[in-house]
Amino acid sequence: MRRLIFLLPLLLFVAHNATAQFVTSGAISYERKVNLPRQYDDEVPEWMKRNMPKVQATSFALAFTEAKSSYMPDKENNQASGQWLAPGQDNSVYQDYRGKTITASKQVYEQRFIIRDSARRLTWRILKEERTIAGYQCRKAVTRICDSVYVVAFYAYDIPVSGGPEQFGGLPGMILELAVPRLYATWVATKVESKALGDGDIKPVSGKGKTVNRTQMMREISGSAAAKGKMGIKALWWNSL
Amino acid sequence: MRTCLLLFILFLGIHWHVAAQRHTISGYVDDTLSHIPLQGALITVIKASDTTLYDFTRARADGSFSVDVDTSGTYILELYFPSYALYRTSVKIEKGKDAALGHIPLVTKAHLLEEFVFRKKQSAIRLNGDTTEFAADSFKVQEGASVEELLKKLPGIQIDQNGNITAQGEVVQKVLVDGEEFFSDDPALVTQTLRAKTVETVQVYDKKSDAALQTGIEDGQREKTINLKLKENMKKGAFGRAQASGGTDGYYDEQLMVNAFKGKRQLSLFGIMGNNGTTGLGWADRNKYGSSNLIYVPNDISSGYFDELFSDGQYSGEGIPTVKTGGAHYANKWNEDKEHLTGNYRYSDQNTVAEGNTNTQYLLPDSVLYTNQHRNSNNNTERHAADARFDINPDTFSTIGVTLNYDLTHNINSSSFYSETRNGDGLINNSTRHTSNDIDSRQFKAALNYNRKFAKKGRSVYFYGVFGQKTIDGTGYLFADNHFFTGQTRDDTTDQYKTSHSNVHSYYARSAFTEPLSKKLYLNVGYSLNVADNEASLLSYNRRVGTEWSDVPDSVYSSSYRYAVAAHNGSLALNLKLEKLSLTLGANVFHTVFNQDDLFAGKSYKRSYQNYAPNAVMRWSLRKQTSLSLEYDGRTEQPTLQQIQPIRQNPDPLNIVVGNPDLKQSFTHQMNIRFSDYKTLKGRSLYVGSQMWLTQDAISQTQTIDNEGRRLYQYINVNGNYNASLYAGADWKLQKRGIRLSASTNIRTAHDNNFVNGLRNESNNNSYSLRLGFSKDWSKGDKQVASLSINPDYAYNDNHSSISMYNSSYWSSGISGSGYMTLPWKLQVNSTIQASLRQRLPQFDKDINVVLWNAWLSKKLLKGDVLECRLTVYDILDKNKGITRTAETNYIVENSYNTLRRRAMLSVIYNFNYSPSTPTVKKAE
Repeated sequence: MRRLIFLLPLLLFVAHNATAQFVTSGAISYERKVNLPRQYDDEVPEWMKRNMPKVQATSFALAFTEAKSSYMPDKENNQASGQWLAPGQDNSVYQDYRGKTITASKQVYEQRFIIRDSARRLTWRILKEERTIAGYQCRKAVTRICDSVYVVAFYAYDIPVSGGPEQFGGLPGMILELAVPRLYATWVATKVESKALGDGDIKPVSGKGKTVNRTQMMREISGSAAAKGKMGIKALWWNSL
Repeated sequence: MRTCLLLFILFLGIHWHVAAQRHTISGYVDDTLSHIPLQGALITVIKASDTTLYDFTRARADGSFSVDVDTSGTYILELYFPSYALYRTSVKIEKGKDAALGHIPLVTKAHLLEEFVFRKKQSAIRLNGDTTEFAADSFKVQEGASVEELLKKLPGIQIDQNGNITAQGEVVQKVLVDGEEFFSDDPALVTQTLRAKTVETVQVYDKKSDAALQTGIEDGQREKTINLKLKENMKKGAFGRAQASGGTDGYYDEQLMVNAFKGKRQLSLFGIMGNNGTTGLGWADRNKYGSSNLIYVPNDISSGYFDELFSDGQYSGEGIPTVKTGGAHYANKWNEDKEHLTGNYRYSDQNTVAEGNTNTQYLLPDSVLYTNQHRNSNNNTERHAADARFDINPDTFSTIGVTLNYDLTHNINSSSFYSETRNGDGLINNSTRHTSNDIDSRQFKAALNYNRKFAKKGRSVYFYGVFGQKTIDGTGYLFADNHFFTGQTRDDTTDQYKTSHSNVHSYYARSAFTEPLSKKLYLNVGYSLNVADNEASLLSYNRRVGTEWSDVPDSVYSSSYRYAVAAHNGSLALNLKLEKLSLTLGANVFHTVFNQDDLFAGKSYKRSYQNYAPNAVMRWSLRKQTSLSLEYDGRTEQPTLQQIQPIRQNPDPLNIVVGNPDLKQSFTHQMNIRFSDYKTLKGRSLYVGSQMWLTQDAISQTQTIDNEGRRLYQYINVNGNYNASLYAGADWKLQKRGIRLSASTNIRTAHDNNFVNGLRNESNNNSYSLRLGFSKDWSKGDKQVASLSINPDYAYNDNHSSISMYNSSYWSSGISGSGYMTLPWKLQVNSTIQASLRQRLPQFDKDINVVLWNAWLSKKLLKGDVLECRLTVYDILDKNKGITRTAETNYIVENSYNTLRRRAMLSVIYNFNYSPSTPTVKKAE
């Protein structure tokens, strides 16, 4: 009898969970936090660094279905924060998961690039650590970009869409937290909204710019003054995201 | 050579794909116990050598999965499904062999974990159907703050200095705790004594009538209600607050409130004693009779015939009351919540000494009349009120509820008046009047409701029956001495002893049936009968000599009536429910019959009315946090018997009412539109609404003011009366800076027709008001350390009377501010200021500006800051005044009265919280 009583709630629990809902479309709000003074190293005098906001937060919105996603700045939630702007403030990315292609828009100094390329293939290591982000159980994974720049991601088991902030993806679930320690930057999902979205709700990257692929863009940047110095290296990393 | 190598690799690559040196890992994922396939389970394949992600897939509908791997070796397979423990296994793939893993049973976490903690993440504001929900912890308040202070922080909610709550532009009529009627006739009692910390969510909604709730058909009857949902952990053990205060000039204020929970049983007790304008004198107390589980009868006809002749001794907000009040609340649920009992008892003893002055300006066709009245009164009311409600759900389809109300009131009052009336030429009359009364009233009500649903979704039957009995007995004295100075000087003296008796029996029954015509369309048919039988007498005896009274009642001012009312009501409603839209169209037909027997005159009067009331309600959820609603109500209203056949009474010989047997019923169209929009993340809210009333055959007055200054009035029907108001409010929160800005506006217009000395008078009373709000909070970590709020307001009243050249428009403005700051050594200062300035009207020479400034200093003591010592100085500038000004049709009244003035008070407040140590949970085997 005791055993039966014990089993009863368990059965209810099971019955409930066998119909558990995975989130296959919806909207995610990310808060990107960047340590501003750390972006500048020696190029900017110490007193100037002291005067800038230490952390700059920017909101990005990701709308996704199983087929595609769009990642763009959440302009309504972003406060213009004066003269010091962290890189990549208005990056937007459109990912097509079926066609495995990416369209991204980046402003690099005076030039806007429209990058059209295939989805990036990164080798991820899956680590044991788990973390709850915006109410979702997430698993830690790490990878490297630009040979040596570590990227840490936490992906949600319950969102079976292989996307995430910027051009990241390729994990078994949606990336809800991303950290690039060498850029002193983190992206953390503050809200995940499960809602039905049609393909029409996901807007492709808009605006005019120079259409390139990733390699072409990196070539253009690394050949310019933008890539000079320690700041230049960071600029390359930023633009590889 | 290099090319060769490249070619070789390329060849290998092609070989992979073509020759398919593939190995397939396959299996089934299901639940350990039930063997239900877990569709969508995540299968992650990780290379064991370097823990890199190799591939991943999701289980198909039957729980099966398969993953292809290209190279042999060891792989780690992880299987995940929500609420199940992660399953991890390693699979060794040998060259040329597939790995079929068969059934992989997943085990729920509940099985593995001894304790399961649900974490609910909630945003600050949610719009849930018609309910707006605020997560209490998202709004920072100071340590130990009351619910009232929390409510002040919520967008769209305003609280005035008397504790009246306005939510989204409408007055809140009820405050519930965990959905329970909890001394809810006195919202201030709950909001001022319950601590903000105990509340999890604040819900604001329109409480529908029982009938509407049970049948799902809107009947347009709604009360703006706030429900405070307590935190689960507060519902264990007990929490409460005790306060002892003493002040200068004999002021005191002692309060105790205890809430004790045990399982589903809740017991609350409170007691208040004070003369400091204490809580327990809520605004609702003065117009709501009875207690919390109030039995409600729509279009109630059971009020006694003489009810309006008696002052019922309720506190009107004037004067200085001394209060002793206490009560108990009990709630419990049994049998898997199928049985639910709540009960309340409340006692109050209230003594009010009031002194006041009323200045009235009457605009007449050719002149202006001023009346100045001075009054003193002493009022004592002792009241016991008890109620109980028991609900039982015998099966899943039925609900039966029984409600009982009992109320016993004893009121003793005495008043003295002195008034003078002047016109341009000087004094035209004066009057001295003394009255005293001793009134006992007893009321009992019982109600039964039964609701049954059927297997067919949406079909239901509803029955509601009420029996009521009310007895009022009173004795009193009237002495009046009037002097008239125009023309021939005349004196008129009345000196009478009066007895009164009234007894009402009333019955109400309503049944309704709801039938779904389709999945979205419902039909509701209802019928109700309301019968009341009333006996009432009012006898006046003139003074003979000394203390002797005449044996024979005065023939003019005595009466004895028996009257019976029967009201039939048939109703029909159609309700359309779509995902985002709900629409109700309905109509009510009333047939009312009055029978009145004048037992003294031996005459009978009979009257009957046919009334119609169409209504329409539309509610549209535009978006998740945005809603729009439209309501229309049409209603006929019959004149009261007092308007047709007034009882001759003489309490105020300067105001005399004349009956009008030809009075017709009026028809009022009421329209209502409301829009609300909440932006949760942005911290922005907006509401806009408008109300309009248009009355055909409105019951208005024709007044004749004779040259002696006496006002004779009679009720008549007029056309073209309307009333409209437009209100809007917005709230912004600058989250990072802790700043909140708000603005609200209210525009009202009233157009009334009446007759003054035979001339038609059209009066327009318009008012425009704007209120702004600014508040800023300073926090250190999670704690709020300082706060400042400033609310300026401005209003303009524009009053015009077509018969008069005199203008009586005025502006008023005010500012209210409050702030506090935490100092070292657990000290805190807090201050509030309330200033109101009103334009002085030339005809009223009094200064009516009010500045009320209070401040207190407190120190918290003991572990957890549970004890607080507080020194308060009220009305520091000694400039407080009780004053109101109203403008209507052709008169303006300025009423001033005595209020509490400067005083200091020292209080000790103890906030306690006792929770029994959590019992150790037995581990599952």
